[in-house]
Amino acid sequence: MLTVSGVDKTFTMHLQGGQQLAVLHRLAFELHPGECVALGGASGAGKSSILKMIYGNYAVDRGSIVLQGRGGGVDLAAAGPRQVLAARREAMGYVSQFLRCVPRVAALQVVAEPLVDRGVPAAEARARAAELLTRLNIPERLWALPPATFSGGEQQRVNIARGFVAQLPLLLLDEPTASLDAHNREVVTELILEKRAVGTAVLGIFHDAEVRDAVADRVIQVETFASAAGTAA
Amino acid sequence: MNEAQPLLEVRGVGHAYGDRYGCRDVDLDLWPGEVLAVVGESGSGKTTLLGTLSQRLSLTEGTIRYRVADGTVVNLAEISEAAVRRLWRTEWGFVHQNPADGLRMHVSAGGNVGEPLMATGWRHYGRIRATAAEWLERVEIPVDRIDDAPVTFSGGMRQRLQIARNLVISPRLVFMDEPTSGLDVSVQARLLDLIRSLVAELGLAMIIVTHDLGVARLISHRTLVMKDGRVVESGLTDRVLDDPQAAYTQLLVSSILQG
Repeated sequence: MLTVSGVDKTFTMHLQGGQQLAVLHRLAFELHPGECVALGGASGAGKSSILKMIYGNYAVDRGSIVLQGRGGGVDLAAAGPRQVLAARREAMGYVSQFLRCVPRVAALQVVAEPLVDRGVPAAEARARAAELLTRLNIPERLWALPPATFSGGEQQRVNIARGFVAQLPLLLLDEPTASLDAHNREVVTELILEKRAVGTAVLGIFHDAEVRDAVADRVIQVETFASAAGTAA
Repeated sequence: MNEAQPLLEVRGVGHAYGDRYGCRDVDLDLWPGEVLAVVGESGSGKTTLLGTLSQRLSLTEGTIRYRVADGTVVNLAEISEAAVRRLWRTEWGFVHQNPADGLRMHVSAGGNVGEPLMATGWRHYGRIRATAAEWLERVEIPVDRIDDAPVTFSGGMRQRLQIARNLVISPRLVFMDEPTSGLDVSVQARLLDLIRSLVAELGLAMIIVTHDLGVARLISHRTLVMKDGRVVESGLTDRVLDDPQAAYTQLLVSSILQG
């Protein structure tokens, strides 16, 4: 359902005199429905960059990222802003490392929003959001509060709930369990396995080896695609 | 809102002040339901661009095509002043940075919201007042202030009233010029959240000028970065801010204060 081929990524840092930081070279892999693939490699290898290129936050220098959807395939590497937004709406969920808090919006609303945006009636969206927040052990007294005031672990669980609430074909996870305790790590592991069971393809970065072994079928070593050029002026 | 045609098609647009261009060579398409942020520092031409697109400044070069509610596409330079005024009454809104520029400061809050309705032919006083009260509530102004004039309001309330005055006619396209920049930080957050939810609820298309990248991040789908009157970069807001390509955008992004 996702075919990445020949993808290069280099950052040009104009504020450092145009220094080029080559991160990925000829990245290629496939992802199938119901499969969970982990991205492995040292920090700085480009794992998050891969997720961000797929989700559209990062530009792709060369190559293609083809996502198969209901209306055929779309090459996310070449897609315009409206196509990327449509692909996100129809096909992609993304759990970033940190929740980007919107002032004043209640946690329950933050989690329900991806459903409301996709046309689910508000009451049903809130009910499903409440269910996930309960599973992730966010006490009900916090639901009406904006997550900006929550602890790091609570914010991350709100973020996970937001990413998991909609049923989408592809789920991108950037260290979803990084700041969670053992019990909540287990809940997230279960949630990932449930997604796989209904056919969602999951691509993730899992720092925690135990979580990774429990959820992923295989690991892609990102260093295999390190740019030979490395850092060059 | 699945129209296959853009609402606004802008090609090669420029406005010159004498022989100096305030903005030039601007191309953009705006689709129904889409929010476009125009960012840049003062003097970058972003406000000139907004003025040109909204017909407040003359078009020196280029074309602006607008798809009217009935489906016809008009070239804005070619329609009469009366036709432009009709668009302002029925399809467009403009929210100024300074609420005093967009409100009648000595007319009651209810009058400020009711007036645009009367301009589109509403005659029933009770209905106008009820709709005005409804809008005051939507923008979080206590309804018991309906007979007070905005001169007695705080800055944040005035700005929310200006938004109600613009949205009451259910416009299809709204221009906003730095709507939050004159306000305290706490008041800004409230206003932004309000704009964000109203725009999503009403499915409006909006062009918002801001020097604040946080505002662009929070409410826009796409961002246009301007410098010296020209567009230096444009695209999906996430991508412009997370992976800026132009040297100038990298400078802007790296200058954000981390709060």
